[in-house]
Amino acid sequence: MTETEQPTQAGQAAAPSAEGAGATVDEATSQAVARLGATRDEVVVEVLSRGGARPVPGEYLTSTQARVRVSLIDQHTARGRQLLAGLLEKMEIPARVSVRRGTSPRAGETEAPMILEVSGDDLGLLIGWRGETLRALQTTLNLMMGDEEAEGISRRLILDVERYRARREEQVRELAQRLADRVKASGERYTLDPMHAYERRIIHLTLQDDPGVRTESSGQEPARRVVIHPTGPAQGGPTARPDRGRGRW
Amino acid sequence: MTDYADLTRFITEHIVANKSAVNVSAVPRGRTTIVEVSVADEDMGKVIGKGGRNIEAIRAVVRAAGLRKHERVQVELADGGRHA
Repeated sequence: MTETEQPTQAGQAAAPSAEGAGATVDEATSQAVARLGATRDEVVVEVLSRGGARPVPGEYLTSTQARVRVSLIDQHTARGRQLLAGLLEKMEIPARVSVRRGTSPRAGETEAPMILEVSGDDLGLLIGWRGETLRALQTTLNLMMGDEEAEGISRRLILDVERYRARREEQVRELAQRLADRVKASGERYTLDPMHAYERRIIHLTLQDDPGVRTESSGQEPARRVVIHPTGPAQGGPTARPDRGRGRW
Repeated sequence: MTDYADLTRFITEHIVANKSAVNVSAVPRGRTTIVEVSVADEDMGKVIGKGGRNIEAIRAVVRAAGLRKHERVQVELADGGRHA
């Protein structure tokens, strides 16, 4: 291998990896992939630094380099990627499929799951209303992989299109924090609108270490909702105001 | 035109155990393309899924392929009335 070979991190699968640097993430990835002696289809890209502003012609701008680490992906994920690329081709939707590692592990697991990421132009139709088509695509792909519930959640592949899921997760985390502040200030519980299981899970995880609130899900699917309860009396403060309605949720 | 029958066959053959029993045909009905799928009896449960979850996902994927071309596509599973 090369001089850039990295010692594997504790708790991570021992996949060969290499780092690369460049003006953009794309250039850094090209370099890292070349150093690993692999192709882009065979690696997961971890962005260590996105790099600063690109230099503008005629001006001086200090810009930091983009840095990435690429690691060879496991066979299961590689097969999923290939199958998804084949499916998109049959759908006649020009798009690329890349692999990235998620930000947080699922329940009962130590490692963050791999996410198959679809990118391209005008892919809204692959996302659908509130992500419905994205979920259908994910269900279909996992069915095609031959993974039913019996094999456990850990082998289920997760899909994202144009970072929809990533953006949505961020929104839900922010919402959870905002509502927790409100619940603590008012001392009154708050019931959210119905959400999908994975979104409810984000709320529970976001607030699990906040001693001021506790969360639970109630009701039956598909109308199951998260309720945020205060654990103490109202603390007051600027957010202690009457509920102005449920807003978007 | 996207080959919706080919797309549906690609998905279905990866799901079922008995690939040779998969039959897919596309027929126009008005402005909609109907994709008719039949699979072996023992594969019906897997293709339909709990509460129809799987077949609904397949339908959504094929429908999405049609959306790009502004074409309406509907997947129908031949079930001999057993799974109505």
